[in-house]
Amino acid sequence: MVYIAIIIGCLVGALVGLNAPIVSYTYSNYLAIAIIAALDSVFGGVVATIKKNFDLKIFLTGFFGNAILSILLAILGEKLNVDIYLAAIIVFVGRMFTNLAIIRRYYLEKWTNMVEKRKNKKEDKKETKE
Amino acid sequence: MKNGKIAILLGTMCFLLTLGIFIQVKTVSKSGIGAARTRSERELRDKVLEMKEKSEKQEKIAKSKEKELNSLIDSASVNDSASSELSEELNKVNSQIGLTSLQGEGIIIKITDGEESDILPTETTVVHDSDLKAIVNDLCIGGAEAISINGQRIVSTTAITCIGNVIKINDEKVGSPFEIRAIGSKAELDGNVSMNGRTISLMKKAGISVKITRSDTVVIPKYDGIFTANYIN
Repeated sequence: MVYIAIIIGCLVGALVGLNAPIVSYTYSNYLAIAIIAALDSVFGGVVATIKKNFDLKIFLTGFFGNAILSILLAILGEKLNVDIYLAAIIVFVGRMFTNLAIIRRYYLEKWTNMVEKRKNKKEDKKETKE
Repeated sequence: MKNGKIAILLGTMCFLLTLGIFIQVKTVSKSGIGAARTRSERELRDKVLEMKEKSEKQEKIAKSKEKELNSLIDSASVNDSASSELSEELNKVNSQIGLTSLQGEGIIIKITDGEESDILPTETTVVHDSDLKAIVNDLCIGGAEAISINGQRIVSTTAITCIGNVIKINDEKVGSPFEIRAIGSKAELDGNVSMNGRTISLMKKAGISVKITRSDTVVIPKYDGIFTANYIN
């Protein structure tokens, strides 16, 4: 159910995005930061699921809150002539990499465990035969 | 119930995310920018794109104002025979000097730069400003009543110049593929342009792809520039 909803959401988003009008270039900067923030939240959500402390409320507020806050900060940075958006990108992308590392380790561990189990089973069989 | 709610929420989030990504990708690819290498490069690009957007907006405003003006002229001359005659005259003159978009029978010539080859030098396989000038002249010989190249109307003050790897017509840059439209007798235009020895036959020999189509409804846009009269007494 959840996976179907995710796939349908992605497909509809892609279809609508292909036919949607483009945003003006001045705003595309902000959209880019919002996308990075949202992606960061998604990876954070995956890590939370792995660690089994996923909370939908935290996930939702992080998704929208981070996106909106990063846009606001970028606008503020433009007004102050400080590249705050750079800081936002560094934080979000840095976190994305740590989260990706956690995900990678989790699945790597799972995989090695599986391989070892298979080996053990084979050895057990051999021993029983002998 | 709770599962369904979660599914809907996650689905809408995925929808928003992919929508944003696709719009962003489209915007970036349309404005033709990659990631800038330096900050000053990025700032300069931003300025250029901003200016472009501004000029597009102004153009839109100018167009709507022009429509207003035209409707005002029409409404002012409705109940007055003298002024209606004048407005008819105005329309006629405007269409002759290129200030109105026109439609009629004619031909459309599509020209694309030839492919790069090892044998022929690049100069021979690209379309030059002189080629376009010659084709325009050939069309005029064939009795063309209105001509446009890539949406740029050829008027009495039009200059066709080479500026590096693009061609400037009416102070606007145009590049390959070129689409030359001309209104006039289909047969005469086609015959004059594709006559042996004329520019197009030479271009075809050089490997440039040229396609001529005859049409009963060739649409030619109006001249967007401004006529100046600083020295006319």
